[in-house]
Amino acid sequence: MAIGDIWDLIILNPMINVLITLSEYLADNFGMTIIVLTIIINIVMYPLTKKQLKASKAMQEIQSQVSEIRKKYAKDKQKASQEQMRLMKESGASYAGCLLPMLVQMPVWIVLYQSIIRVVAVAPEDFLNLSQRLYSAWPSVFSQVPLDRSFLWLDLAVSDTFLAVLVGASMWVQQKMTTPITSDPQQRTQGQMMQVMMPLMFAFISMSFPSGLALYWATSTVIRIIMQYYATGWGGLIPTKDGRAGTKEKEYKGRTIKEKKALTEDDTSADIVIEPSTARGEETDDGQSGDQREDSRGSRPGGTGPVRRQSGGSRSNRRKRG
Amino acid sequence: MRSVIRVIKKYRGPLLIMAILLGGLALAGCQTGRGAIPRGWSGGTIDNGILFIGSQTGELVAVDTEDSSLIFSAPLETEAPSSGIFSCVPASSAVAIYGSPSLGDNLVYIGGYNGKIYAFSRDEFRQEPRWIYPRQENIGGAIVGGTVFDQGKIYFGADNNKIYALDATDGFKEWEFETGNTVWSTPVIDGNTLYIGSFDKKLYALNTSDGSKRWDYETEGTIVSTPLVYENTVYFGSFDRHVYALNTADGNLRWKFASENWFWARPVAVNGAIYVAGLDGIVYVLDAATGSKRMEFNLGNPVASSPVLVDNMVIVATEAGVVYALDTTSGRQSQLADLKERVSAPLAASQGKVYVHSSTGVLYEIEVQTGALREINISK
Repeated sequence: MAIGDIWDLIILNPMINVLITLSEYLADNFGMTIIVLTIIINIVMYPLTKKQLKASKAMQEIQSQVSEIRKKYAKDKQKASQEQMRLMKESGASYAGCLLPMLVQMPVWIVLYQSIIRVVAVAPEDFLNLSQRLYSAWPSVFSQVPLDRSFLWLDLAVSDTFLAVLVGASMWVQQKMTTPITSDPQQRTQGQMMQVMMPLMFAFISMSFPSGLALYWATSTVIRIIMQYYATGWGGLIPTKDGRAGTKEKEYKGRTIKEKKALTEDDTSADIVIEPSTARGEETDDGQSGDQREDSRGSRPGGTGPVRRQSGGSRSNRRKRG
Repeated sequence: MRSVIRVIKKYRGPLLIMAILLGGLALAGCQTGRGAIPRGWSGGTIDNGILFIGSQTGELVAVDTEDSSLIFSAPLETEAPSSGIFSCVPASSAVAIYGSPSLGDNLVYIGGYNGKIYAFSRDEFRQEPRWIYPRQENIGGAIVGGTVFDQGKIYFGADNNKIYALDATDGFKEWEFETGNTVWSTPVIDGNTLYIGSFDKKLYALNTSDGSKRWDYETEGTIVSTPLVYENTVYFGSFDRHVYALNTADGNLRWKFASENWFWARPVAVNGAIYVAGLDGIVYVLDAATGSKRMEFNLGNPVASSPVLVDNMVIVATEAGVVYALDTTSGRQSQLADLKERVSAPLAASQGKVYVHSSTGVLYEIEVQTGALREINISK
């Protein structure tokens, strides 16, 4: 049996039958079925999503420190790597934490995507294909097909420009919330490019695919935005008054990362330190851009963010010097 | 050139992610049924040694059944692609043809997935159609079922929920009847009554003179199969996995028979028995009067193609392209050919030969007695 057949047998076909059966309980409304199933799947996968969001956020927050480590140990890759690992360990960030939950979720998104596009059968060939995927033990699925393709103003089998715009807009919001803000100009440019290109690309694709699929993307993105907000706050979407990202309070194993900007260009002996949290409400400046840091050098309220501790230097001294 | 390379190098991360996403989505679009364009599966109609059929490249084709030569081929028309760039649609696609043509006195009629009916001269073999209905644009839905000619009129159902009757000579509309949903079934005329199924789960009996409804019968599933009228009874299969037998006079249920999957193919009647092939891969032999099962042939593969009767053999083609002969007297099943190509089109038969239109656009001619196979390429 080919891998494709195994995938169909144990993953795709069950999802198709669940989708059709669910529509029966939702007044034969396929649009509502797509929304409800997307919500259910998101709820089921929330623990994984939360883990991923947290890990991603932690990664974002140490970006500026990682850049500094790389700069500092530019000639000693091994040392840079060790320092980076130490920083990641202490802040709770890890590549595996970001990628593993995402990898686990990927097949679910793929199967949902595939099942929606198959259930929205239009051509006669689609129906013949679908007939072989229905469970004979579930009599209602046979009578249920074809599903009612109309939902609100949409024909779920036909692309819709307005929904495509919604997909693009929601994706832009999500991208804005999740794009790491870094002092590295190249990374920053790449982040900005992704912020624009990804929503544009999905909006463009939505205009070519059945709107049922775009409805799934839009629903999914809105749910991710909500989850993202509860897990990490608005991120780069709504910066605070002092120009920092609108983040929620971040704690890692009872610690808060504090950051201070280097004071002088020749401050190469500075160390990155993770200080124990002393008071709730202290925020890191993961959302602050390098330029913003330059402007607010030495005068940031609360002195939050990673500290480049200079030998013999104190917070008050730095303010004076800045 | 250097600047392009520099930009690519600079943005290689995001570009790679986007390329993977685009590739994945395009691939997924191609692999799904929705992503694939409708290609059509017209069956043949034979008269006076000429077989008329709709090709998968959007032409009405005439084939001489004596020597299998192509007599003529006339394109319906080409249309702009209806789907987007990610749905594997070529730049220009031919009209898909699902329904078999019907033959009038001088004209041959064929419906296209583009929502138009075309009438060509059946003797002069001109490339231009004699008339097209509607004259402007289309009827507002695809035509999947076949057309039927009867007493100077053409009848057909469409994706816009309607059943039409046209004047066969000039293509002007005589009447239309609106059902509750899409109509893919091919109508059947018996006397002055037209029988046709709809996605609204009903079988309709309409008066052919004015399109008024005589009766309807509601099942629990969509009806796509073409009905069969035999001994004052109309037989058809439904997506609710049942075969129904209704009284033609009043639409009362005589019996129904349950199976394991949908019915797409038209039943065949032989000696008081109904042969009906299902998408569960089984050909059921039912008593026409009572609906009791006499026997069954398990072909092991779905059957969407309507079978035909040749002498005392019911010829059936599975989706996998295996063609069987079911002996109606001995109950023996024998394999005629394995085409190794998908077959969904209704079969056509004449003078001991069966014509099978495969999904690759090849028309196969099979001698039922000898099993001799001949390929006729009817698609450009």
